[in-house]
Amino acid sequence: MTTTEPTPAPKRVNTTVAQAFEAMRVISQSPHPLTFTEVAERLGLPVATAHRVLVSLETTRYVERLGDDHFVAGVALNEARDAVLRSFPVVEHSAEILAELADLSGETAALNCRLGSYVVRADGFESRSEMRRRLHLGEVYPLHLGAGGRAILAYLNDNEIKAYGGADLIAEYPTSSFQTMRRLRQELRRVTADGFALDSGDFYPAAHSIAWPVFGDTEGTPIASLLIAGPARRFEPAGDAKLQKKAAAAIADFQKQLTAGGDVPACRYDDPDQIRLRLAPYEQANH
Amino acid sequence: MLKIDFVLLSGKTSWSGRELLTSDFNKATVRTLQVLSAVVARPGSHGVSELAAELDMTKTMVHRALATLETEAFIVRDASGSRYQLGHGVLELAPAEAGTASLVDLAQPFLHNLRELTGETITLSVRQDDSVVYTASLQGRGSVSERASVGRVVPIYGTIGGLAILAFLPKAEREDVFTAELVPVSLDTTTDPDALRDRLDEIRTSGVAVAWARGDDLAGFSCPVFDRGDGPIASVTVSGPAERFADDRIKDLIEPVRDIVNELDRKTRLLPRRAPLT
Repeated sequence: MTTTEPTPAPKRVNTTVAQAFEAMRVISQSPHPLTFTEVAERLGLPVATAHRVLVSLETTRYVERLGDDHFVAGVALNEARDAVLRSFPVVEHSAEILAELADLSGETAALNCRLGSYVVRADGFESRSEMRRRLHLGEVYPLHLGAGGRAILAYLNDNEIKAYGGADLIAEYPTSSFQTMRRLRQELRRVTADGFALDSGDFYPAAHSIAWPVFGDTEGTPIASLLIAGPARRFEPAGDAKLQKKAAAAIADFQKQLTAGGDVPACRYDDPDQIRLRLAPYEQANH
Repeated sequence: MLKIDFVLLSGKTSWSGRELLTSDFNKATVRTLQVLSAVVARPGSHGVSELAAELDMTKTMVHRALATLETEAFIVRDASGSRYQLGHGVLELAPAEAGTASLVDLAQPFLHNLRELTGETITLSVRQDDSVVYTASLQGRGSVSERASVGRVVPIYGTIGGLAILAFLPKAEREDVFTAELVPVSLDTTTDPDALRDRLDEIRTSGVAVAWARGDDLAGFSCPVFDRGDGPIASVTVSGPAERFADDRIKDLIEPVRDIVNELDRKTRLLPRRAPLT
């Protein structure tokens, strides 16, 4: 995926540090551990430079070496990501409702937080079943792609939805069923009518999910969504009226408590709508 | 300022096998990442002077590091414009549970080595709360061998694969097992709480959980596998028909098996904390 807005190339303050950032990106977005030579080749760096970059990253624990010559994301990088996830204000309120949703469904329950045009999987409980929808904490994707995102998108105001459609994010994911604004709006109307969003294998083949919006104030500003997801083979939330009813009731209680203490913002960033992320290619995340 | 690095580096060797020198890494990179880690360590916003004092760097160094981190949105300014907080750019990196080797991936070559060595069934059991899941298994080569039942979930106290993990859990977590009635899961389950405590003590002392053929026709032994925090996360079990597991054969096998498991252990201790187990 490429950045859609023609953003000017960031001003590099220090080339070596920039190389280290690129190495971190290449290693962390790779689906398998990379060897020293692979990292050097992908960055187009001479061996000696790549060596210095990797030692610097390893020293600070941003990458870790498995065995003699394989690199993966390091503990410092994971800690940084966890710290970002914890910084979404709704996270500290949602442990109980997540446990409750996981219990009543037996499936994976997740909290997705809005970050401008994206949702971030910030917390959750993974189902204990051997076959289950993996939680993938830290996963980020555009709002229209999954049930977790559409449960938020549907409750944005008309101008915000229009702006989302104009941001080219839809065109970047041609495999999605929601490729036109018309089709997406139709779906979003269904979401607001039902009070929840569904995804039947559109986002992740073989997974079905259902998601409800979470509002940060009494005016109905969507800040997050609560999602239950499971393997398509056994989890059919679309036809499960009992689950829909029970989950909706639990979430309504949670919602009441959440805003009782005042408004809860979606994130701690200043102008989240301006955020454009360079995400790993969709195919790679779609495993 | 670089003293932290020397602590981290001590005893580490580079690819060529020699000790690392300061010339092996880039100081600006290390400083920049140290600033990032300092911001990660404490939630909220950070001022330049605070960071400089905390990291024993000059304000110029911190400024430069922050400017670099800002280009990738690893750090962003808060609403005041003069203080810094952790940025969303980090989300582009390290998608959790992706891009990291899983325990099963790491274990495969070691499981094969173990089967080569012993000819018996090798099973990787992964802890899931108070249970273990048989996550990977290679069938023994003998004409009679234990069937590999991947995917089976059993209470952690129920089999040796679980006991090898249970014995090394912190005491409080270990005692949780005794809050419910112990039910026989296999012919080797110890259902008497005191007997089970004794058995766990023995395993902690020897480092190996051994199941003798108690009326059952199966026998075997298990070694724990640890994560970076010294928490047991899994175990490797060698098992087969009881008649092939005489006391002295087990004694002969334990050391070489432990050597291979220790090799695996060195790798699992490098796994990021949230690495997928299955």
